[in-house]
Amino acid sequence: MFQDRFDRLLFAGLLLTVAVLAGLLITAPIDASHVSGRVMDRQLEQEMSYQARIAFLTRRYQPVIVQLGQGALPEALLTLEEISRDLPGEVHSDLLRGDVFFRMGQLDRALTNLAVAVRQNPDYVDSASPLNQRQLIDAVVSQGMPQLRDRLRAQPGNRSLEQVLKDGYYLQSRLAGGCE
Amino acid sequence: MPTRFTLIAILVSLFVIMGVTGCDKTVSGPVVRIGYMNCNSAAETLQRFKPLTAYLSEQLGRPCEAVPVDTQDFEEQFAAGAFDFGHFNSLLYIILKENQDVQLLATEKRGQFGSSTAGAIIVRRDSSIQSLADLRGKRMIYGPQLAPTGYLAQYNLMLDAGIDPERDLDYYAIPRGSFKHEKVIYGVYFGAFDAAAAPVLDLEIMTREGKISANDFRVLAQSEIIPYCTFGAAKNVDEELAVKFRQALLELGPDTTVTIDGEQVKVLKAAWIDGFEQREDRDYDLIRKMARRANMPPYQEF
Repeated sequence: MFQDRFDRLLFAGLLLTVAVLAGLLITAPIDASHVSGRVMDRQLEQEMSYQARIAFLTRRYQPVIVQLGQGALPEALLTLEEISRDLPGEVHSDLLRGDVFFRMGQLDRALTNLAVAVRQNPDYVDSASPLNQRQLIDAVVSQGMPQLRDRLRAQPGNRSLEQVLKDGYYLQSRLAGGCE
Repeated sequence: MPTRFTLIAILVSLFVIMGVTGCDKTVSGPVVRIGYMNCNSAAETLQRFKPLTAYLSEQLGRPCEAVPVDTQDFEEQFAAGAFDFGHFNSLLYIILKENQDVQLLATEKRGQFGSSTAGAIIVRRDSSIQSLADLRGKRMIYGPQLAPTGYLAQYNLMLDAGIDPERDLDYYAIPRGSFKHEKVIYGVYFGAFDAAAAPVLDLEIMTREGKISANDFRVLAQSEIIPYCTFGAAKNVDEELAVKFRQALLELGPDTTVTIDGEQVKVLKAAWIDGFEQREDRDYDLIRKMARRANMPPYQEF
């Protein structure tokens, strides 16, 4: 195994190095503050990104909010269409569309749009969230569902109405919350 | 005399042929003619509805033929039995229901309002016109007369506001040719007219396509929401066939395809349709009310 003294020296050196490394690993203190710092960083990043998203939504959808306040509902829908072109897939458009349709008395369209919004972003039914829209969703569900059930009784088997009813039940369930 | 072996061979061949041809839905029987109301041109209508017609042919098991029809000629052709089924706007539906006893099958869904839509009266954002009352003595542009949300709805909005478009406007025009609704909107945009009767769906589509901006116009008034384009069946169409036709429309999804000239084509996308919904005849009562008030067909009196 060892040809000469040099081999023995080399082997002893290797053993010593491994022993020292093992010793260092065993005795090294765990830097808990570093780990928790990383977690804190991540939480901070998430919080900042969330706040930035809310600030962005508030700014980007401000014209729609103004139009809603003025009762300019057709214009609000057109502005939403324009925003959707720039931000396809942004469900805040669906939420506000639901609001416009509710104000127009188009309850089934309101239910459909709100269900899309809540499915993609449950914050809309979270009372602790700045995006909370429980009051609106509750109003649409409580006014829309009895009307829908009546229509479905008159038209059993109407699949479009059945789908809207399912959306309504989904919103009802989200408003009720999970098992506690 | 054929031998037993020959007979067995023929029998086996027949079974094989039946098996192979049975893989596709067979299309046979008399041709089903479907009249489609032209939006812009006959060529465009045929191109839009060719895949839908092919799909219906597959589903009904009958050869189907698409027939493009001018809105003004629709009732006459329908009455003459030129087609078994028709696709038309909601005003034509109430005319055909009243005069030809057409059967309501399904209503087309398109845009934010689904199977409903509305008409709006618009002015430029910087216009001095602030209300319908300000339209007196102004120049206005309407869509074609048989357009429920390009003419009828706005005509009613004005009557409701105490303005008679025939007497109180300085002048009103209806554009010619194709893309009338776009021309109406551009008519106001470029300042040729003070106000326009714009279908809400066209405003929505033009905004989505970036042709106009939501800030370009002010909506002076918007009509009540009424049903959109509709499929109906002639009264003499076999009930079973009509039910199958409706079922086929309601089952259409965004991913339903047919083969056209060797290519897989999405049926709804080609036809600019989001889907179909089953509605009731009473949903069209609002249009009946509007047509009566505006003295338009099918209630027109001279």
